[in-house]
Amino acid sequence: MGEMAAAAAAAIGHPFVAVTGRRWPGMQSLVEGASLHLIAPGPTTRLGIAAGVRLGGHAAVTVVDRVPRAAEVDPGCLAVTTSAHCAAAAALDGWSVVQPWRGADIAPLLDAAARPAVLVLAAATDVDVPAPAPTPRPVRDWADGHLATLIASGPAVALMVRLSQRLLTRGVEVAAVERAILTSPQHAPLAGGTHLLVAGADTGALVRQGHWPDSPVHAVPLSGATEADLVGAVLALVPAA
Amino acid sequence: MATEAALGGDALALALGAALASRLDGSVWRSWCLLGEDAVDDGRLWEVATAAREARADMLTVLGAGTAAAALWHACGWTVHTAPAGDPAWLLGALDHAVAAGPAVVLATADG
Repeated sequence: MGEMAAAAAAAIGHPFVAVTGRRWPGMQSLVEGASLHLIAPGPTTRLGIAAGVRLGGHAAVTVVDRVPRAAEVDPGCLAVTTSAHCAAAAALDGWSVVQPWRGADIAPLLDAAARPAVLVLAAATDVDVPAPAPTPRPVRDWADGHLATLIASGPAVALMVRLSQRLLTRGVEVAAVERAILTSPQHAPLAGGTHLLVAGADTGALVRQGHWPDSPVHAVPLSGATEADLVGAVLALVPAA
Repeated sequence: MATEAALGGDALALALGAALASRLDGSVWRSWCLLGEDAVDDGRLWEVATAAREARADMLTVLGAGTAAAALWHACGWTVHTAPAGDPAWLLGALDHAVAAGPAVVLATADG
């Protein structure tokens, strides 16, 4: 595997324990850099084992493709993923999401990131991004995509969550991300499919900066609208099931 | 050090992680996991037990209550010892056997 996973292994420090599932696409160097490698099935189980390693005084990293809520895991937790969908969900669930652009950035970013943190190794060209895990919930095509990404920040986040719940009832798979983390093109994998932007007055600027060049964008500005107006505008874009 | 968890799977996962940390330290200390009778109802306990067997976590020993799940521990590849909870000498003997070959579980029985 490429230099990103090798750099991640170096940044974590030696010795450390790697806890993975049966498959760890793109993580070969990370696993090979570990002093011990353990395979365990569920992500919650893996994170619990890693917490025990830290309890024993050593570093551990957990390879995941989904994470529980940050409040439910060891606060010192460090997870690694190649899944942009996992990263988006982690950001919504209270994790710090670290997505380095190059290997040299990993150590300083990890040093600065509050825990629990997810290190995303999906933006580098030498890391394969696995296909999203199949969801048990039926997902209906909406426009040209099947995923709505809601973007908000600050007080708008609560509204974003409520909107997510409404959209889920219409069969739309929703990724919701904090506006502040989408500040550069390498964060684009955090959003996917058909992008539904729900943000403040600078939504248009975000689009004009070219962060979403290949996807249709529906911008619904928050400014000056009541919540009822906004919900109505968003739901008007999404046909009822 | 000591810690606790609400569910059996969480407790054994922590203990397994600590046992792996012990291996990094040269296996000079042991990780113990004390499980109540209801702990075996947590399915993740068996995920972790299987992972511990595959990791050859020799520095991990479980002391559990009741023998109802002895067959499951066996099925997960663990060495199982039983001892009456009311007989300290027998119990300590079982624990001595358990630490000789891990991962192992000592199941304390109410009778005897």
